[in-house]
Amino acid sequence: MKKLVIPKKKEYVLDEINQGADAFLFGIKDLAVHFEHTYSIQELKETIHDIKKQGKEVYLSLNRNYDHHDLKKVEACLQEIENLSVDGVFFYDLAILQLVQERGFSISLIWNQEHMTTNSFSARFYEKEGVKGISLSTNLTLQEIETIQKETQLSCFVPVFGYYPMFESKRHLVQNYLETFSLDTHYGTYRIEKEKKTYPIVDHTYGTTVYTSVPLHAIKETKQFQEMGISYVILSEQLLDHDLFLSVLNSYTHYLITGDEKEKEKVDQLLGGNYDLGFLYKETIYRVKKNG
Amino acid sequence: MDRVELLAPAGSLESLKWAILYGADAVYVGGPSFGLRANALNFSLEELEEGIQFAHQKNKKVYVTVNIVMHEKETKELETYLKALEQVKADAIIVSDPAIIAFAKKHTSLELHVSTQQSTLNYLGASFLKKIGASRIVLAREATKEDISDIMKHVPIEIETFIHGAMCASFSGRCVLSNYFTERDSNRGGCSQICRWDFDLLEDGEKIEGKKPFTFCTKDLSMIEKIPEMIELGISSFKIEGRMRSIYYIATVVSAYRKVIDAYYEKRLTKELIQQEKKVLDRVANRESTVQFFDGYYGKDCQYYNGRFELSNQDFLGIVLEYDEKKNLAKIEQRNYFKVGDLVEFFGPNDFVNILKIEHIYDEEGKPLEIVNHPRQIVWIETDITLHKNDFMRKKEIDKIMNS
Repeated sequence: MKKLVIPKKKEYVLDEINQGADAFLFGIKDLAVHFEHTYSIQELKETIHDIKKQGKEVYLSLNRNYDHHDLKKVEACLQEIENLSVDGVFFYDLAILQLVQERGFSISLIWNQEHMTTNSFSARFYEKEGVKGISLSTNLTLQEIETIQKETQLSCFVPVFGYYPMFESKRHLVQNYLETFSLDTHYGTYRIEKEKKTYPIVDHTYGTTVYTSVPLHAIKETKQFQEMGISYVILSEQLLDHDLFLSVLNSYTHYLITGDEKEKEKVDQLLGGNYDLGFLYKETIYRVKKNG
Repeated sequence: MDRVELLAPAGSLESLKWAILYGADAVYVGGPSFGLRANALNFSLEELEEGIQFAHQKNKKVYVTVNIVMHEKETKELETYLKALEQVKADAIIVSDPAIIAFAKKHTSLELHVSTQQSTLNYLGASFLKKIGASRIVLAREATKEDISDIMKHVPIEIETFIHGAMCASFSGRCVLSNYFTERDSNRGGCSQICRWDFDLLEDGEKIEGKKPFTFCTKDLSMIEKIPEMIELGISSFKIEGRMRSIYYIATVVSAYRKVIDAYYEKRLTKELIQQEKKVLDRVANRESTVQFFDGYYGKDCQYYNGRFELSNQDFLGIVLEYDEKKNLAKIEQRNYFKVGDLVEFFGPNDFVNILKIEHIYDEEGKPLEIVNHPRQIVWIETDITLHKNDFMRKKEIDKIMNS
């Protein structure tokens, strides 16, 4: 099982390789969301080269919803990617799948429809459409992840550490609020607060993202994922301090090798106990009322 | 020229019938499973069959939502459920997952519409969906008229767009606030509308003090003034949001859009008619409305910081059950308090509005009444206006001041 890291900056990848990263995911400028820094293909070429030289993998994310203005840029980007030695492209919009099929690109696609990648039935459909991997939703239980892994031939990517998006809008919600009430901004970092919990909210060029209150931290479960045969676990550095993240990555790497409980405790301490296990042990409610 | 379809929501058999009576060409409903409104009164299969028969007798259509994002346990029941929908003769199913489209295409003869949950905004995505068997796409609410036009130029597929109702603040399918805040799965019918909640907004840990609290909440969508432009774009179906809304709301909204659409095709649409119907829609609105993304603007004026505004139920006074022309008496089932002396108006599927000052009310035994204050109380009102079964009685009211 490999550890895929979503680095905060491309300059950090060598540090992260030293701490055990096996693969990296970068957001492409203007075509991806949920990344603190995004890059053009040109800007990434050298980094990709450096990563590949170390025998590690590179994935690129094109995970926005695209409107008609974006399509030429998307196609041009895929054309550039086709000529690079990257290991795959994470996609949200079906335009990417259509383009790859229509143009006969040899790009490996990873189905990354965020909260919709929740079952093996749908995964098998994408497999038939030529997709190579599935980036699983953060809303799944351990058992559901295990079933999907068993029931599909796709490489499964499972989030185990970091802040993950809960909400994505095309609207600029912070900016709209500040403008409505003529409030000054100092271009700081924003959070929304409810019932003593705060949640990062980021207005970006293409809208607004709201993230989970605390990072997901599932180090023990990472071992279970390894036993299940999961191909990749995802650790995201977004919104976190680089040094803290390096320590976390180091602990995950050692835990996977040794199973030493102290590694979990180290991360717990680094996070000050502020983390959760997402939905790994918690099923969300879904029930349709019956008439009568 | 094919006329655009007016598609109404129905949370129950009753509202399905009202929607059709008031002018919907088709209704969309949730069946017993796989729908995204777990809190609506969804249809049992028997009710679906009855509703579909009712609709088909009137040459109307019924579409059934199968638009949840499935987890493993739901996938097991899918085939049986789709076969059941085929059996009851659903005119189409509305699906968010392309995997279900491909599956249903192979195993059933169901017509397949793609839900707005897939957030389709471009022709390449539309081409893919057509290729795997979709016959219609409900576009993302974020679609501008240029997006719509570009898709239609490239892909010969039916396009459905929302024209009225509440908006998601997020891209559909890309919000799980409900899951994290309430453990109710927004993509499996449990959305608890966290986007309507108030929050404190902090910058670098300090609370920002606006005049009103921060919220994601947006104004509603109302395209009544854009109907001619939307028809001219060639859109196939206009969708009204709101499977959990009352029959009064459904009848009012459907009736307003019906009038404007018909007037357009009959070349008698005027600005005055549009404004008149806009006022009618305002009366049943929960909050202010705009055209949202259609014109490409989605800035601050689309946001709504005034909390919920729900006076509409008070507006709806009763339903006409029958009219006795010889005695000039209308039999009314009460829905809200009214009394002698009130100024009320009646509207109905027959496209009229009549105003009446109530002078005499009688109970079922013929005894005079001054007030009608019991839920679903049956009374008789004296009126020489010819009314019809299924007409609605509402307050004759000055237009609501939305920002009060």
